[in-house]
Amino acid sequence: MSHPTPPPLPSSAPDPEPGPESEPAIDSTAGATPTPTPTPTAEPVLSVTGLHRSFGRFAAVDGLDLSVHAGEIYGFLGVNGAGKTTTIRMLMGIIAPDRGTIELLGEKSKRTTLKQKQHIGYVSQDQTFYPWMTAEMLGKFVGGLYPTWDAAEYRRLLAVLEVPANRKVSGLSGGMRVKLALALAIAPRPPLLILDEPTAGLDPVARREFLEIITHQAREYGRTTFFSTHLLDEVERAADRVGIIHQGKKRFEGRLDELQRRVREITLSAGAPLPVGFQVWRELDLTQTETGPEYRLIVEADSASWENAGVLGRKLPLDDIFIACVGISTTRL
Amino acid sequence: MNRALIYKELRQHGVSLALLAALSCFVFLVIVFATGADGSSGSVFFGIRQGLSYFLTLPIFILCHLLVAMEFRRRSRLFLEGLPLPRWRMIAIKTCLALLLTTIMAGGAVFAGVVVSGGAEAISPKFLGILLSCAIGWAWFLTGLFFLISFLGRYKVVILLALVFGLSWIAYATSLPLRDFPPFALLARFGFERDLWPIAALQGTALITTGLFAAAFILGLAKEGSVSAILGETMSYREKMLLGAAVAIVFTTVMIWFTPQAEPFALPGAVEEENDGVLVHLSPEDTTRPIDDDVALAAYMARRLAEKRDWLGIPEEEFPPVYVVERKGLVNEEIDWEEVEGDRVVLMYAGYRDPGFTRDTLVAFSMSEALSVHSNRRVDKEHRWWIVCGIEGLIEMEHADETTRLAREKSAYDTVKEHGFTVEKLLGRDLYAEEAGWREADAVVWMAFRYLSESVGEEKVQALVRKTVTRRVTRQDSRPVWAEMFQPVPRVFESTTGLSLEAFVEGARKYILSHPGAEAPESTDTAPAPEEEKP
Repeated sequence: MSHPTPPPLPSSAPDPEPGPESEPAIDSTAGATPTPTPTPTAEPVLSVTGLHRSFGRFAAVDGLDLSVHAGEIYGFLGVNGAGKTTTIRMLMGIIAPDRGTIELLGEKSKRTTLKQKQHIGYVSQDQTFYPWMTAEMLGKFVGGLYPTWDAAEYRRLLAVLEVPANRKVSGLSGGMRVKLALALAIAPRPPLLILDEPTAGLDPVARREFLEIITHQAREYGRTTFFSTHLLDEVERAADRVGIIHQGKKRFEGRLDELQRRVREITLSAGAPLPVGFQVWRELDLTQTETGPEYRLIVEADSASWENAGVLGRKLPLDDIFIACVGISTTRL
Repeated sequence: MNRALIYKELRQHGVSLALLAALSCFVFLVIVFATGADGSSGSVFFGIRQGLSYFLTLPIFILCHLLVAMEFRRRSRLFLEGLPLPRWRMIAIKTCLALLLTTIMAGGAVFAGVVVSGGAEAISPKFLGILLSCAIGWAWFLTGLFFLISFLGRYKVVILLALVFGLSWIAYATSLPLRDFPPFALLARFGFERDLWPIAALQGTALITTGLFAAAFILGLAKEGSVSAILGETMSYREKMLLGAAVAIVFTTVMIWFTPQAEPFALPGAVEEENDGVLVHLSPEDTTRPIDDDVALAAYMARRLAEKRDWLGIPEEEFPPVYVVERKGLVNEEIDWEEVEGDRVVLMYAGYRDPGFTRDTLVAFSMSEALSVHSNRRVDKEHRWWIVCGIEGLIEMEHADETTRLAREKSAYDTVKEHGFTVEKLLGRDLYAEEAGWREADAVVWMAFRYLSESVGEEKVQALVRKTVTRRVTRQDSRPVWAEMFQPVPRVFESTTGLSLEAFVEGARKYILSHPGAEAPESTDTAPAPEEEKP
């Protein structure tokens, strides 16, 4: 979007108190209200600090910090190419980070170990099983790699998910393969599930079914679930907390209602100062009114700043917030 | 974990690998039986050696392709990477499986040899140990090589071709004795070495094989996606086209330019005589005796061969040199000959100091061998061979005395009387010779040529042989072969002599039957004859 003259909006005043707002990304974990069931504890099952990974000159993940608490479902949201899969591949030890540390299940390491992987259920973006294997063969093969493998549970899951045990993978539909992958991930009874865009390519019915399964698993067994997606409705439906990543950097981490409380649309006269503690996420348009030109902006601020500014702001739907979050950088006007 | 991996490999490749191992053992059995039945190589283990050298590369290449290349090319690699499965363990299991299978193949080959050799070989535990260590060492080397190559993905074919061309070049174009170096040294005396363990060859091979497997592991463990992903890709269309063109160019260049230069024949103590460009070398078995007789015989041969060469119209520079090695075991008219691969020379063995030896027989046989060499051994196998035999007979009998001629006439007479004489027997002369005997068949053809000469004149006979058997054929020049294809001998015969083959054969048959000849006397024309006595 272009605007006619250099916008006369001043820079926002320094934040009255240091906090998460001083960072480009926002962490609202501290202010999060606990989910009804199960209650996520403060103890992180998964956390990464300063994670960085480049491919040549391109920084796919750039100083990422995340933390996922026990028992919660964490939606890792980002557009295609944001760095979600690279992050997950680092979490799974498939590729090594250039910098940063990963703490998984209480063990800190630069790269995920084999022992840690044995306690993680992983569903990759593409289900690239051996096409000649049946679900039963896959169970035998994969089961041999996990000390906690529960063969009975695997058979039960196959039955519940209606995956034919003796049909070759090459004969299964995309939805069936995802269900099979989920059964393989859950059967070792891992405390942590990492799912990389598991519903990509599924029809709406299959997606809904899949989300219900992982929600059920998390609620029923207290299984921590970290799943990446670029679909907002999935996050809205299943996630307790969400992390938004864009261009390899974290843009937001917190609860969705908190996100909606913090990010709103305001209208500001040209030349009027941006309230203290406000950060412009997106400039929507510039209109001429009787009182002069006015900007419509999507801004982000913490509760105190909203109260201090005395501005109410318009509550936005999640997709508008997401687009504002990843559409432009946090450059201040 | 190991059990899971072995389960996966066996489910994935079990049938293919079992088939491969069974097929390899079967092929080795066939090789062993063929070698045993033939008996020409001296030992059934010679066949095993050939099988190990050439055949075994194929199943091991397929084996490594199945175990490694297909795994790393497929997207299932991504599935494996998500599992708590160390890649080194996966590669180690594949390595063990490959080594086990190749051990079975190599061991099976040796076992087949032991079974088939029966009582013909003295199979001592030490001999068996040497055989097994060499065979398995070689098989493991091949496994290491192809295991590594399988990790090279898209560059696999390029590197393999470079390796094959490189080794071929070293073997043929340089004097480097590859067979003396490990791992080739393992097979150098395979089947014939019974006492000495090839320690140095085994150590060298073990070192090389370990290096190959280490390199394969390094490539396989390069985990960052870049190396394995690039290597896992298949070649693009453009790369395939470029590679195909490069191979075609190299192959064509090699075929055109790379003709092995034969070492000059070195026969110590040989006498050499030259006449009008014809070189005759005679190598006496005993180099300490006087060589005057050898010189005389060589000079006689050179002179007569030069005459006949001119009669046949073969250019001087095209006539191959003649080497005759004395072999006392060959008596009377027995002459042995040897095909020298790549050399355009005539090499014969004869007991030319034997009392029953006939020098004109040697001259005649030298000419037929020279014509055979001149045609790159094609004339022996085609329906023109009878013409060469006719020329041979004419040369042999040209200066023969009356009694010898009569004896030969009788031989022809008896043969035709007993076995008949038809066009088929003339053209399929080898079959006729097998039926009646070589000398007898030669006698018939000689008489037929006499009849031809008498009935149509010597000029036409000369024209016939010049058109049919004197054209030079080389490996590089296929034009004469094409020319022969469009000028079949019966047609040339008819156009040159004015006779059909049928009429000629019928006339010759009657001619032979009208010359009953006489019983063969003792040969009097023994070598070397004094120069003044020559006709």
